Amino acid sequence: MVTLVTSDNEKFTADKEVAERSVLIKNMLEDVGESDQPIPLPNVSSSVLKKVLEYCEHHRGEPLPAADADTTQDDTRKRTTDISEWDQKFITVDQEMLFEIILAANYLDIKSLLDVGCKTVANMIKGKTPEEIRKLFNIVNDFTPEEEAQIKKENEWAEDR
Amino acid sequence: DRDLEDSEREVMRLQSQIMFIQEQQKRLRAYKTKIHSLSSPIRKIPNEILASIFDSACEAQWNLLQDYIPALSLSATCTRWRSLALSSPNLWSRLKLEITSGEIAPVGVHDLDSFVATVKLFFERSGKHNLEIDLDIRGEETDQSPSVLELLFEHSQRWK
Repeated sequence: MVTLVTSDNEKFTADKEVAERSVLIKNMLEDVGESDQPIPLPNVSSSVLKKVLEYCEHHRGEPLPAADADTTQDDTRKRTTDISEWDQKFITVDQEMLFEIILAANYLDIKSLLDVGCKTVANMIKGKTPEEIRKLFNIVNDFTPEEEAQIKKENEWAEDR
Repeated sequence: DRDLEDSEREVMRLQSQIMFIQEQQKRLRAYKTKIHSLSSPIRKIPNEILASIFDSACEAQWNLLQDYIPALSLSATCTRWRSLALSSPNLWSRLKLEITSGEIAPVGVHDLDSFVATVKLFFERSGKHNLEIDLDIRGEETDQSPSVLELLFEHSQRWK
């Protein structure tokens, strides 16, 4: 078993096999060797780690992606924004939690969870106008009038059709 | 007469005060929206992850006729997103086109000029990135080549 300590000082115990789905934790365990010392995770809160461990527990035993797999530039990788039913249900959380999970997955280096998070946000974006995206994510339109004019010109096609 | 003048002056004074308060209200609303957006969860996401989200959103070959093209929407959301989208050639490298041979314009296109301008914009922003184009050519072979097809041929070395 491995003990993990969150930013709000809560302790979680998890099977080594489950915790090691995080490359960060796996490397830390390899570095410290056999030890009962708790692993501090100062960038992850207890509510987020609880969700992350739920994900790792569900996917326990599944093959991990190759360490050298490129996440953004690999043209040959399978492109799909399909998310499995369980993952979809798992990631149905409020926006605050969704982005916290994405940040935690990035910090803990859990590529499959990061993918699920990114695909979920991507699916929220698809088919939306810029105004709808701004409203959805609470983003301010900070373009200058000149930039606005340029963007309007670029989007003429979309507006005219 | 004097009373009337006094009341007119008072009305003008109050009107200018209302205008001032309305202007102040407008500024406060804008400030509130800005402050509210500062706490938006998506602001915490670093560019490298945001780029990955953008890539997923633009992964399919988008038909310029049917959808809100994610690459265009992303680049028109805010300055941070625009700068990231414009520096990500992969977002602009996937397109779906339906062309009927013998016809100058692709299927369903009424304003050919702005359509061609949009395709050009995609090719320009895709830089040297390989192009993934889902091309559907219908009809009989003819001598007349649609202008969009000619544009595609100009970039044939980047076809994937």
